Amino acid sequence: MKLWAVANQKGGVGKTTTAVILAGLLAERGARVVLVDLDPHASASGWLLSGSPRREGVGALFAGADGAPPIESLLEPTSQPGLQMLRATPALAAVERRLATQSGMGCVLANALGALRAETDYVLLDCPPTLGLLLVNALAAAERVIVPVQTEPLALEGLRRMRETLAMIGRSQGRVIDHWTVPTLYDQRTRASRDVLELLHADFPEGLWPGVIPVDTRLRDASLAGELPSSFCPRSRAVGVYRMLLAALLGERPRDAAVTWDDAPETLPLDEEVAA
Amino acid sequence: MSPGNDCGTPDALQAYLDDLLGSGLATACGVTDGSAGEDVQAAQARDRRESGYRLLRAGSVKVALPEAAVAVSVRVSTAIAEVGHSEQARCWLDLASMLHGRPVAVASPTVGVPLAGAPGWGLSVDAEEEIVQVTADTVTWREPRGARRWLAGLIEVHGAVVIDPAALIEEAEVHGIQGAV
Ligand SMILES: Nc1ncnc2c1ncn2[C@@H]1O[C@H](COP(=O)(O)OP(=O)(O)OP(=O)(O)O)[C@@H](O)[C@H]1O
Ligand SMILES: [Mg+2]
Repeated sequence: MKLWAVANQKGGVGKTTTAVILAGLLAERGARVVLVDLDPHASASGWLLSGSPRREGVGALFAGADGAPPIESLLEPTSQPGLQMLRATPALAAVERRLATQSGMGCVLANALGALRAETDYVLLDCPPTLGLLLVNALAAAERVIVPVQTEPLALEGLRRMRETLAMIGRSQGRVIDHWTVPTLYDQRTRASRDVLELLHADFPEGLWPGVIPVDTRLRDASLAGELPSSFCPRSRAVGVYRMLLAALLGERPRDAAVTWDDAPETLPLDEEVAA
Repeated sequence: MSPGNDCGTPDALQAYLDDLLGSGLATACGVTDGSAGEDVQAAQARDRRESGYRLLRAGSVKVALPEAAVAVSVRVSTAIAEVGHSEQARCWLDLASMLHGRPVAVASPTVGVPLAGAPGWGLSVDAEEEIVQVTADTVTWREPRGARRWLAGLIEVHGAVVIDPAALIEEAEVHGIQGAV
């Protein structure tokens, strides 16, 4: 079982979108995937479970001695075979407030997820944009952290903070956390996007994935429709680039291989270059 | 205390994280095979104290690899040829050569240990020994890590050097892969 967290302490950078798409693409390939929504705002749950009856969510795992239910009982199916979800509920916000001061509480999620090991290939964690108990739990459990960074000027400070947090969690655990920085919401036509991308390559080269996720309105349409982009708009540009990101994450293509439209024959248009 | 995005000094934040994560023990948070429905706090208390390490032998050096770092898919000793066949292509790091800093004659048959969370990577070692549970206070961490960051510490009772696989891969990526099979 592989455990990937999608995290950035900055909001609105594409965390949920990235987690949902990667989870969908992995399941489409036949992997058994669990997507965990750790954000009390519950965007991923709203996206994929909107039609399902309200249930107890991931927050129940933090009930501790009061009796946390078995994690398997909290899993909910989605429209994509192979993809299950652990939903977020507003109660999750209370978990953050109530428990953040108890020592050892950073390991609750890691310990609970262990029980899924036999029946799960990938767990993806969609994280909230604030550094608190939930984000610490996610980062502590994750073997790998994917950090979406919006290609806009304020993003770099957020990335710097996020890397500091990863370093600190790593120090606490005596390990180096594998992190991937993924530029998102890239708009080739704007100066700001191009400048920020250049700065990313100059100042944050370590762990930076060389591709960029383009702005693609089909992703918003997919979330409004409550559908996975991998089935709603499988040939859209963004989904095509996410496929390349996934191939790199899975080690099927070199991590630092340049990403161009030519690599994504499924994607249109073919002639435009995505990355410098 | 709950750190917001900007409150607290880095030291205070580090102390808070250490506390949340069980006072700085490596793999305290390893994803464990806790049985379903097990009392969460009991599981936590146990995990904070004990971690599993896989003991391996490479170039006559005994090393310990955090159990959580070993890919689940291959849990038994397997010749690299077989692993390479059933698994997607991996880059096998020859641990003996990396430990000695020069090419070391490879024992045969070699054992391949695929790494979790790093689908492209595995370690090739001479032999795989048992899996041990050690309490955190028996691990001496190397602080600061120094040049070879991936030599993370020592488990004295087992005479084994603790390897940080992520740092090992990082070194291989940065300095080229000496001893890749
Ligand atoms: N590549 C993209 N192209 C167009 N719109 C996108 C893209 N990625 C994300 N969006 C949109 O941007 C908004 C923010 O994205 P998302 O919710 O994934 O970010 P987030 O980091 O999870 O936000 P939060 O911090 O609030 O949880 C959403 O409306 C989403 O539909
Ligand atoms: Mg989100």
